[in-house]
Amino acid sequence: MQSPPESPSQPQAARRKLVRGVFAAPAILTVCSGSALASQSSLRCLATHVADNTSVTPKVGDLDTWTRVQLHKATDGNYYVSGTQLSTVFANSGSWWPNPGTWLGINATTGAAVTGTYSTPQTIMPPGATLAYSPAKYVVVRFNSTGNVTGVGTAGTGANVGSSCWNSFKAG
Amino acid sequence: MARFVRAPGVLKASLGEGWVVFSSLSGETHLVNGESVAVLEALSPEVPLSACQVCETLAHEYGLQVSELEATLAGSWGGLVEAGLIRTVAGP
Repeated sequence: MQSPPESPSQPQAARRKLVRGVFAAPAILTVCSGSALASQSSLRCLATHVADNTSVTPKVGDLDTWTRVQLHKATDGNYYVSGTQLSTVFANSGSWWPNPGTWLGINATTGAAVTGTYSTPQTIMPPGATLAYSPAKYVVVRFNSTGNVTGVGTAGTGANVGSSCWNSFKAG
Repeated sequence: MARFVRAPGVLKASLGEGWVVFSSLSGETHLVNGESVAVLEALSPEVPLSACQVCETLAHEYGLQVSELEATLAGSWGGLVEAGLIRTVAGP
């Protein structure tokens, strides 16, 4: 009884693919990470929209920058930004600004304030508002060099994220 | 004279006519041709070999002149190092 022949090792398999008498120069093509490319694309898109004035409302100043806060999700299926959460870091006195204890409804697809009751900051907490949901959704918050918020979503001043890159931004 | 070893943690798999290799050193994945894999296989992770020694091994296997293979590979060593697939070993 003979034992079965050993299966070819990886080296053997690799070398069988090459033809004797021919040996080209090694070629190496690096595969880029999809998530890294998506992130770069999203950031480039965001920078473009913030830097130009072709999208929405007035242009943001050179010293302005941005961050994001997670939206709360309520049992009514809508998303809200918490003024209490924002005010731990930022300050503003605009009428659109959700002061501590107030809530502003945000359309998680467009970044615009919702229509209806929560189109302006309200003191009534949206039903069951929570950050414990998945996938998390965010709203862009623009602020200037003094730390004052200049806009949340499409509210306030400064260019909002265009709809084409909002999808990638909100998923971040 | 520079000597080389295969970088630790290099994984490879056949993909169509070519190969896909992953380097744990660089954290990158590369699409490479069979010649690149042949060079990697001619090297071991432990025993450093000079470019000349690698070319002698491959020339013998593929029926080529050593000098011919040295010329073919002369510009490739740097790319293999940068890709994290091989490492240069210092010393005599």
